[in-house]
Parts: sequence; structure tokens; C-alpha cells
Amino acid sequence: MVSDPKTPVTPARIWREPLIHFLVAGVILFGVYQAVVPQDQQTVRIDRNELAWMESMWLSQWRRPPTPDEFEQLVDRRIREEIYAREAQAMGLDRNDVILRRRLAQQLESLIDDEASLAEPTEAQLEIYFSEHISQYQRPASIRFRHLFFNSDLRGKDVAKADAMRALPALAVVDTVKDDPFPGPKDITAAIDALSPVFGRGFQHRLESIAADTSPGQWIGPIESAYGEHLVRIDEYVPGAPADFAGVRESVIADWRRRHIAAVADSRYADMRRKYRVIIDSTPDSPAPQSATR
Amino acid sequence: MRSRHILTGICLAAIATCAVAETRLYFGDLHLHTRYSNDAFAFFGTTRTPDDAYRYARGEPIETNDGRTVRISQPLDFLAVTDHMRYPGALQSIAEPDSPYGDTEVGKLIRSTDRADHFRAFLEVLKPARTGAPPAEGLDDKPRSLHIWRLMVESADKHYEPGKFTTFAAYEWTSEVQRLPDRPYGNMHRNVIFADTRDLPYPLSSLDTTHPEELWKYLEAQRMRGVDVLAIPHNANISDGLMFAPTDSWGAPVDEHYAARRTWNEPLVEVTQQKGTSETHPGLSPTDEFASFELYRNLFGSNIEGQLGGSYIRDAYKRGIEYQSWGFFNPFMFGLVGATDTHAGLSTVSENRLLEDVEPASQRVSRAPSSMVTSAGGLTGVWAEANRRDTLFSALRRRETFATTGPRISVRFFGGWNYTEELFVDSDWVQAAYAGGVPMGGVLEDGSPGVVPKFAVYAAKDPNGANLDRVQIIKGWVVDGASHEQIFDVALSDGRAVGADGSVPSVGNSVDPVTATWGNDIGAATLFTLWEDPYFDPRLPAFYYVRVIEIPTPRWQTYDAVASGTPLPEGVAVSIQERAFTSPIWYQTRRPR
Repeated sequence: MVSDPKTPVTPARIWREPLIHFLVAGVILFGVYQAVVPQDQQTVRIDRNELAWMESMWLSQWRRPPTPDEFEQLVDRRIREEIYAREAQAMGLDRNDVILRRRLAQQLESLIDDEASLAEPTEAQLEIYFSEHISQYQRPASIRFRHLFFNSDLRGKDVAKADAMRALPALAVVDTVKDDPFPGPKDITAAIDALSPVFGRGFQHRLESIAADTSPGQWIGPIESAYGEHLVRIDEYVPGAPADFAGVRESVIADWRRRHIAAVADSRYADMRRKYRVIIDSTPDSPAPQSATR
Repeated sequence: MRSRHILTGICLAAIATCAVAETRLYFGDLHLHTRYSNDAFAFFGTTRTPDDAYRYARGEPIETNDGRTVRISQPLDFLAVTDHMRYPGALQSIAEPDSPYGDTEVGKLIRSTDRADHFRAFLEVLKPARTGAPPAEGLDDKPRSLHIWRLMVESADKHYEPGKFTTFAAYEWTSEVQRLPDRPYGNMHRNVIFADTRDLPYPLSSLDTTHPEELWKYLEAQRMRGVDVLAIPHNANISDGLMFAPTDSWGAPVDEHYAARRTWNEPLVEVTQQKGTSETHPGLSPTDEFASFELYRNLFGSNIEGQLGGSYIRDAYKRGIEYQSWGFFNPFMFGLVGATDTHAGLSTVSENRLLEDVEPASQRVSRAPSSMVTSAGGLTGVWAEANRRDTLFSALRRRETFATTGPRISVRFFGGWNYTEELFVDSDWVQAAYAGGVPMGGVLEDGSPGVVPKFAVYAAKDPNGANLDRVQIIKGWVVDGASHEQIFDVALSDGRAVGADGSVPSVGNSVDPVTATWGNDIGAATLFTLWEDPYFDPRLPAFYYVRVIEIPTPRWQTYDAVASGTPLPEGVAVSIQERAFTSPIWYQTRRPR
């Protein structure tokens, strides 16, 4: 349409133009739309796996599945948490937060551990581990013996020893001689490393060192304990033996795995550490620790 | 009233005659806490589980919070994990990143980096029982509580190896009561020990009741279902006189019925642990030169000392025989045990390993000044036929136990009418002792005129520890309704003798504070004797218990000071004389009414 040259262009006339009406209506609509409909929407998606995980966490804590209300609350809380987290990050709140830092560190640590724990040792690796740590899988030596006790306090230290030595030859002929009351049992059947709490470490070591070379049934001694001197008749001695691999296989696998996880974690940390230069301030009271200089 | 006599008779007979003939010595701890106890988690940052506690006690290596590996120096024969049952496992569960209670008040407090907030979180646990207020959100989660209890029982069963290592399902009933409205809370705690793990109920906690009599009702109900169980009170020293009060918890005077129930439900009391020793106090035993041992007087969370009377065991034994002399039953006929009460999940008893084994930083930071002076916890010694639940529990029931303050001192104690000097000549003397009398925890009755009971004691040092200074027998008796005590030094080391004035020269002190070492050139490895009471009167009820004292050894602060190169704190002694206390042997007459 063409404006009539004879009609003056006044504000009133402009407002009556349909084009203007359309423009104003457009601006109003646009403004309303901006105000009412949020712009730049991000998506928070709670997928099937997440829902299933939430339900199983609930189940493990509460020992029953959540009710519909409880589950709805759970989901709402999760959504809220996600949104807060994103907003917080946008605001830069994630730097210097201790709990967040710790959680992130824990997460990475458990990722590394999980990855390392997937490793399956080969037979060869297990056998090597077993032979390197064979002392841990030893069946301890065990012993059955009877003893006679000569109390050092009662008789005097040197006298007790002399009395014991004097009694020894008699025992070749008789079953027993007069001895002193002992604060524990006189007939013992035990693993050799269980003798310390009854006789003291010294006696256990002394007996350990001679038991293998002593013929059963003969009286030997005197052997000193925390309480005095003893004559000992070993009736049976079963030396310690390396365990049968098949029997301890499960333990070996578990131990190997534990070692492996720790080794992988250390190695990964070492790799990560190399990328950083660490500076620790020193204070007047304490110089900076060594690790700062690397 | 006949029924009361019958009840009395049954109880006495049951306790006195179920002794056994051949026993071995087993050491263990019946009181410790893991991460499931809210105070352990909140104050000490303890993350260890019952599993870790059992593994450590058996001798397996355990990793500490700060990455070291520690191992007990001498494995135990038995252990009972006794976590508190006020919202068990609440704080450690709420602290987990995925806890649904993360944004509650308690959740925020327990996740704070400020230790004071952790303490506040724990105060929320105490509030409901103290004020009647509803628990803070997140604390009272019944499915979680049940789950934690199940974990505790499963852990006990997993580590139970009859003949090698015994575990008990157990927990702590943590009752605290104010003697008067404006007083701080007095400790009325008991550890509840189940004989076995079949058909266990959910524990009755101090949230359900703080009255011991109601705990006993619960225990009696369990026994009627076939589940045997007993309770062991501890820390009488900070009970503000309530533990051995002359009234029940509602203020009614103690009577025969109360006495019978107490004896049957609580045959033992824990006399020593890391929060002090409750044997006696110089105020109650002014002539006992060993009465000031590891005294811990301040009531929880306050600087106010608890009342003396009713807070100590020797005093309770005396009160007990006073009741007896008036013709009533004795409500305080209990044996003694020792324990650690560790809140770090590790049963550590040696002075020189205390800081090696627990996290040094948390231990130093969290120890309040008053607890800085007490020594490491103790152990229970049990004489039983074998290391199994049924045999150990039986021994606990018949009180054939003694307490040590940590070292594995061994003590045999028997009382009989016919023992002679020849008793110790035969090296099988123990069999003869059982046959001719009663062991510790037993009862002698009705002496004939002119016949005096003889007591046989045989004490042996910890074979890897310090020598012994002396053996004492502590006697209590009643004359004209009033009780008295006397201490007899019945065996002394190094040829010492009791002077005419009753005094004994000190054994000496071989502790070198500069190196924190000591020598066994003083003291004795074994001390034994047969003793007759020179003042015995068959008409008067009496008790006799044995106290064995070691030569001085360094305290944990001395070891710590030497290891860290710092001076010993003000007012802390360099050395300690560790000791053992046996259950008493009682003498009583059946008086006609």
C-alpha cells in the first residue's frame, strides 16, 4: 500500500498502520515468550541404569525396595543434586572444596583399584608368588613333649640348673623325678610358635633350634625358661613344612591380587606424580619436607 | 519365706558346685568398640570393623588409618566386640557419600572437616535418651540397626574357631543416670555377652531403658527362650556411687529378690580398663599403699568427681557381706574381669605398644586431660577346660576368672579346709586343690569351730614380661554389722619379710626414664604360698581375693616421651606397677532365721 502524499505522517497515523500493529504484536509476543519460556535449557537425564542403581542402593541400605513415594523423592533429590552440582561448577565453587576433592580422589582411586582387581594371575605368576613368599604358607612345626621344672626363684638360679643336670642321668632309668609345680601344663601338644606365652620367647627359640635333631623319647636339657630350668622329653616332633600349593591356592590368589592392586596403584600414582612439581612452604618451626624438592 | 530360701540355696549351690577339675588359662578382651559405635567413629575417626578387631586379636596384620601395618604382640584366646546399641552404625553410615541422609543436620555435622562438628553429631545420639526428644533425622533407621547387629553376629561367627579362638556375640548397654537432677551423668554401663549365636534377639539398648533391673528382665526372658546371656558392669569409678548403691534404680532399698537377680544376671564386674581402675580408692582404703592405682574420677563430660561410696569394688564386696550378716542375701557376689574398652577397634594392652598400634595423631588429639594419665587397658584371664564358647561361658558364670591390667600374669587361687603344707610339693597340686576346696569365685561354707580355711595361691609372671613384686590377699569381714578390710602380704620377692609393724620394704625400681627400659634383676618369676587367716572367726561372713603386683615398668607416656624426644607431661608418673585381681572366695554361714 502506498501512503497518500496529501495525508500528513503523524504519530497517530503510524499507530493505525497494520504493519506497526503486527510489529508491536510481534515484540509483545517475543517479550512474553522470553519471560515465560527459559532460554538455553540444559538437559538433565536420569537414565534407566541410574534408576536401577538408585533402587539397588536403597535396597542394600534398607533391606527392602522403596515405595513409589520414596522412589519419587529419591529421584527428585538426585535431580536437585545434579542441578546444584552444575550450577556450583558454573560458579566456580568446585575449586578448594575439601569434601569434593576427597570424593574425586576416592573415585579415581577406586577406578584404578577396580581396574587392577580385574587382572587374573597366570599359573606361572601364582607359582612364583608362592615360592617367593613360601614362609607365609608354611605349616608351623608342632611338638608333643613332657617337661620337668626346676624353679629358679625357689632353688636359686645356679642351683636350679645344677639340680636339673644332676637329675638328667637318673631319667635314663626312671620315668620321672621330683620337680617343682609349674604355672602351666606339664604335658604339651602345640605348634612350636605357641610356646612363648607359656614359657617365654627364649625357651621357644631354644627348643625350636634343637627339636629337629633330638631323638624322641629321650630326656634333654636343661633348657631355660622365664621361670627356671626344664628337662624336656620330646615324644613327637613334626617339622614345619611348606604348605601344599593346591591347599592354599585360594589364599595365594587373594594375596597376589592384593599385592597387584597395591603395585598398580603405586605405579599409576608415580606416573601421575611425574607430571607435577610440588612446592611446600616451610615455616619457622619446620623446614619444608623432602618431597618438596622433587 | 521358704521360696526365698530355696532360691538362695539354688543360686549358691549352682555357683559353688559347678567347678571343674582340670583347667587351662585363656586370655581375652570382653569389651571393645569399632566403627559401628558412634563415639568411636565421631571422636576417634575409627574405621575398623568387628572383622578387623577379630583379625588383629588373632595375630593378623592390620593396616592403620595412616597406612602402617600393626600386629598384636601376643594373640588373644577370645574376644567379644561390644559396640554401643544406640543407633548402631548411624554416624559411619550417614558419613558415606551415598547416604540418603547426607543433607540432614547430622549429615552435615559428620561430614564437616571440623572435629568439633563430629562431637556435635555425637551429641545428637545422646540427646533422645537424655532429654526424651525425638532423634535427629537419619539416626533412628531400624532396618539399618538390624543390619548392623546382623553384621556383628556374622563377624563373630566367621572368626569363631572352637579350640583355637573364641568369639562371642555381644554389645554394650550404655545406660547413664543422674544421681541428682543437677549432677552430671553417672555411668551405669553393662556389656551383654551371649553364650551362643543361635536365636539371638535384637539387643535391648539404653534407648529402651536405663534401669538395670529392666535389662535383667530382658536377660531373664532370653534365658527362658533357651538363650543364655550375662551382663558385666564397668566403670563403677565414674558411676557417681550408683553402681553399688544401697537402693535399686527406682530408689527402693535393695532386698533379697534384687540380690538374687543381680547375682544371677551379673556374675562379673570389669574392674580395670583404659578409663581407670575401680578396685578401691585411698579415701576408702587409707592404709592400702597400692590404693591410688590409675584413678579416674571425673564424671563424663565434666570436671566433677563422682561420689566415692558405691563406686568401688572392694567397698561393694564389704557392703555385700554386711547385708549377709544381717541375714539377707549378698547382692554383690561377683567375680572380676579386665578389658580394654578400646574405641580404636584394636585390643591393645601393652604400655610400650599403645601408640604404635593406634593412630598416634587421633589418640593424642582426642584424649581429654583426665584420661591422659590412665594406663592402657587390661585383660581377662579365665580358667576353663577348653577354649570354646560353652566352656568359657561356663567359667564366666562360675566366676573362675581374674583381671589383669595388661600383662599375662597367671594366678591360681584356692580355698579349702584341709590343705596342708605338702600341697605344693606335688607338681600335680592343682588337681588336689580342686578336689579339696574351691577355686577363685567359689564359696566356702559353715566352718566347724577350731577349723581355719587355708588358701593356696600360685602367681607367675608374664613369661615375656616383668617380674613380680608380691602377692597379697585382701580380706573383708563383718563384725556387729560393720565391715572391715585388711591386706596381707602373703608372698614377697627377693627374700623380703613383713616387719613387726606390718610394713614391707619396697621391691625397688629398675626403670630407666631416659631409655624407657627396666630390668628383671629385682622381683620374682613365681610366688606361691599356703596361707591361713590368723583372725578367722567361723561366725563372721568374709571374702578373700588376691592381688598380684609386678615390679615397676614404664608407663605409656614414658615410652612416648622417649620415642618422640619430648619431656614427660607435668604430673605424670614415670612408672607403673601392673597387677592382677582375682575373683574372691567367699566364706559364709547359713544362719538360721
